[in-house]
Amino acid sequence: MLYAGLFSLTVAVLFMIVYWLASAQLRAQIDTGLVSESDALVALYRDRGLQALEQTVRARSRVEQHLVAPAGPADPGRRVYMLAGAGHRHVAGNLRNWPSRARTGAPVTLAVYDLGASGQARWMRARVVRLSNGDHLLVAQALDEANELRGHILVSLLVALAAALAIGVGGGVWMGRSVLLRIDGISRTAGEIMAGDLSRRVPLGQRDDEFADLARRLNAMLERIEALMRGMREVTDNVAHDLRSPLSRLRGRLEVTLRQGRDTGDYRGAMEQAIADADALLRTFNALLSIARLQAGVRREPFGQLDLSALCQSVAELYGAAAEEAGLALRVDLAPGVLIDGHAELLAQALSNLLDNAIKYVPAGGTIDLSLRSENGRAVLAVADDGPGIPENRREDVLERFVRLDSSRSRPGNGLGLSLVKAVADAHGGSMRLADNHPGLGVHLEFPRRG
Amino acid sequence: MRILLVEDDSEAATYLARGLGESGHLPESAADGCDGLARALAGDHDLVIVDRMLPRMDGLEIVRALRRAGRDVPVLVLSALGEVDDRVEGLRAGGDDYLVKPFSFAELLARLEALGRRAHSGLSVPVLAVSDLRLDRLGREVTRSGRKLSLQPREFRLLEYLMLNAGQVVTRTMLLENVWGYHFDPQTNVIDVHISRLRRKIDHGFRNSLLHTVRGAGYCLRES
Repeated sequence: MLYAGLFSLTVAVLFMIVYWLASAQLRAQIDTGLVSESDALVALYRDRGLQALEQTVRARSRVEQHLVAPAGPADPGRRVYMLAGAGHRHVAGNLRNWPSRARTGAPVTLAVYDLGASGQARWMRARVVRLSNGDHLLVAQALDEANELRGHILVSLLVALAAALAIGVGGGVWMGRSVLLRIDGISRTAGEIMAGDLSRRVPLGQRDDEFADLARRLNAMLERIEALMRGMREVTDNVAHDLRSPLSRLRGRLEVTLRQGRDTGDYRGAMEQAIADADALLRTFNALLSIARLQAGVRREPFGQLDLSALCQSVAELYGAAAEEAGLALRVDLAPGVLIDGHAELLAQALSNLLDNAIKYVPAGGTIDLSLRSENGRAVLAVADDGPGIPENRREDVLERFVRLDSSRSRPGNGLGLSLVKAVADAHGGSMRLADNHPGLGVHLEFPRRG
Repeated sequence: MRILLVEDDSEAATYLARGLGESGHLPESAADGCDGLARALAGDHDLVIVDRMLPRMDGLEIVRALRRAGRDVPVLVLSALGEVDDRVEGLRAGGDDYLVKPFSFAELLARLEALGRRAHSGLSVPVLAVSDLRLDRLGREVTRSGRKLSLQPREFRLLEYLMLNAGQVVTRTMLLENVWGYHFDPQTNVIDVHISRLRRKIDHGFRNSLLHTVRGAGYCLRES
């Protein structure tokens, strides 16, 4: 609306200027005519004397009068003449009384009264020349025609202005409405999303314009938010489901001790057990959070270049002693200088989970092979053992959170180890595969190589 | 040590202050960030413990302000934010150590003592000695009673860290962080195995052992 107003104002000012210029042009034209006519009469007087001037003035006056009103002397005509002697007394011409405001010099606009029967005043442009004998000659022209023309110009300008206004405002309203309609669509979608329906998307519209682009971007953003929300909901579901049972175990143990504990030794034992339980719960909780964050893809800093060979070497060195202590041989075969884009801490944790598992499940006398190769532009990290392995039909299951194949719960662990490894691999744009090592389990991780 | 404890959870603050007092330290508490910074700037503490999330002023902001003011008092940051990137952020702000809640009091105490010690003992001492055990940091040589011991490079770093903190309890996570550079929690006893191997090398065959296990906390290298 504001723009429509500004537009109309500009057009109106423009038209005013046109009108003003046209009127000035018209007046200048009349003035030129008056000046050349009076100059011609003065020249006549100078060359042929007063007599000739008087005659000419009379003749011209008659012609003018005749042109306007051939029937009688009612109207002196468009152009009036008056030759005035001393005291502006009438000598010749179709104007009888000297207009009081007439002065020698440049043409002026003045009202002339004694014209026609109506006695109405008429606006005229008049030029007065003083002759060498002291007489005055007045030549004037009615502004009727010019005013009429000016009126025509004014009317047409006003019509044009009205049209411009109509087009401007109408177009503005139409454009505004179409914009508003589309914004309305976006805001309606936002409202529905706020009301809880995260699956809503902004309608794209028929035209492929900036709005469609905006809608696509908003939809991509909503897609991401929905994925994050789904991830968070899964975490809370899992936390609720899977922390509840260890928590109630912990609570039960404390309650029983409180009721049946006989000496400080009992209490002390229960408290130590409670602390151990709490620690285990925290580990589970942290692992859950890490997995959820990795899966949701919330990352603050991009991964940098990392030497996977050196990282494997270092983790292998950390676990070598523990493997040996468990009666296992840890064989390490690493291709040197395998670079990937990655997060050292996460990868070390993933590898440590795999080695932890192997040490836990492979009986003494077994072998663990840690290898890193570079294959078709991908880094392939494998941890293979000759332990009990995982039956083929259960391999999918162990990637589910909390699935442990030994239901006895006699060994430590929360069943999240492999899930975390998979989440780390996924977060690096890689993949994880469980394979049969004939006998034993082979875990293969693949990462895209850098460069 | 005079320890400033900036913690807004009053129950945790009371429990920590009591524990620190019982361990022979002089704790002083501040309940919000502004108060904590004012006390840290005005006082002459040996150590500052800041919680990361505090009312009125963020814990990391306190550390930055202290460092800007030219104070190099050791700062331990406590936080419920335990992701790797959170830890990096905490250390980048000028914290000397970063401990994730919840932690055992033994862990906190061990780290505080290591920090307080680091402030005094020069890290650049070329030869470390505990009883008749000597570690030459430049020559990378370890001897006990004059007899040369052959250690793997990682065992050397493990022993070096234990000797730098001789007489103090060192926890498993401290070892994992400082000797291996990892911050995750291994589920198997990897650190214990490394310690028992080191113990075999430095204590085996000698009358008194130097490397002790502190139950429920960690390890300690000291003359028994």
